[in-house]
Amino acid sequence: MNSEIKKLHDQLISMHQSLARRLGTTSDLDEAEAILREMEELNFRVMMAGRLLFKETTATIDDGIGSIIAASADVEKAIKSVARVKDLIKTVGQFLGVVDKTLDLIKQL
Amino acid sequence: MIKDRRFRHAAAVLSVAAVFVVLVGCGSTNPGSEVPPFRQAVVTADQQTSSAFADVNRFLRGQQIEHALTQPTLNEDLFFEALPSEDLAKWSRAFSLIDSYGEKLELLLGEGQRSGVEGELSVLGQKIQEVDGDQLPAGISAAFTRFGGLLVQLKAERDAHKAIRKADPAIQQVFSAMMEAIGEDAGSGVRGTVRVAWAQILARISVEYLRDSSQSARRLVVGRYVEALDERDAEDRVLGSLRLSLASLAKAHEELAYDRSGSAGALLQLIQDEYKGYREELKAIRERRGADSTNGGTQ
Repeated sequence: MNSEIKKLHDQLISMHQSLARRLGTTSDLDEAEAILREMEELNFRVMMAGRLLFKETTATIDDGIGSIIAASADVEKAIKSVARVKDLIKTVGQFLGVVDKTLDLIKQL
Repeated sequence: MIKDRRFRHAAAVLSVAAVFVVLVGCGSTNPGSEVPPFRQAVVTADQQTSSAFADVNRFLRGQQIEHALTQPTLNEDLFFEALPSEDLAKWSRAFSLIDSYGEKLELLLGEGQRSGVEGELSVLGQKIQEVDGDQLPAGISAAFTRFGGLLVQLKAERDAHKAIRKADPAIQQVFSAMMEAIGEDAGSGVRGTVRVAWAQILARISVEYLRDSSQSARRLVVGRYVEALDERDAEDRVLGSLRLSLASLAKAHEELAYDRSGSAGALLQLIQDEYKGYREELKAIRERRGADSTNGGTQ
């Protein structure tokens, strides 16, 4: 995914990193505090962009769910088809039982 | 004579069937034994994701509190769920659906399907003998019962493979999206957001260092700085390991779909154990620091 939100998230992270590097080289407290305030705002926006990015990526997960449900339904059908085979064999067995009884009756005639 | 011919015919059918079973059996691996560990790994990944994301949300909420303290006014726009609950619920639902799909596969490939059919065939064999009155040669009825069971097993395996192949692109898409959301490195996705929050914590400590001029005070600040670095790295290892778990799950499913013998299954177990190790490490760091994790440890 290369969305606008991802680009924004990347850009904000990169800006935060630049400021962190600058902070690491200054020994002036006033300048450091000013950089820290900027970084605080950027950090907040990274969280906001990160939230949107997470929502966007999660939507892609949701898109794939439909196909998994379809495959799951196919497996269910296959299970039912085995059950049908079992039922069919059982029915034939029951039918043969009836035939057996009928033959017995005919023999008594 | 008739009985003998019937026996030869049945034996020939069984021979052909045996060859067929061997040939079909050689063509594919039985996914039946690989589905249960896959399902177990999906459930574990679901639990690990939930706890890791709950941790991330607590940590980032702490950072929002720190940010609010720098603002002239207080309002609710300053606070939000960094990873929204409704999206976390979607992740959980995706894991549940994959597990439910695995459960059905397990049922289809389970011994119960085959033995159920064999049971019915055995009853049918007895009925046939009762009706006919003419006994089948010894062993033939049992052999047909077993053959029927094998056919059902082969059909179940073929159906399962078909479904697994159908599901595979979507499964790959889901796990790939999850991996992307977590972030392929410490600078992207959730890992990127968390890393920036840690950079902010480190920046606050750096400014404290400038404010404190005494050597002893600075020593304490440096100690906190180093602890924060350790915790940052441990937290990233947890998220990185989680991402690797998802990659292995995707690989394990791909192996199931394309009959490749599984190296992913064993790897998955290793990674999930590694994840537990990283969680323990993170817990130990936090306990050592003795601070509340909601503020990310260090302000």
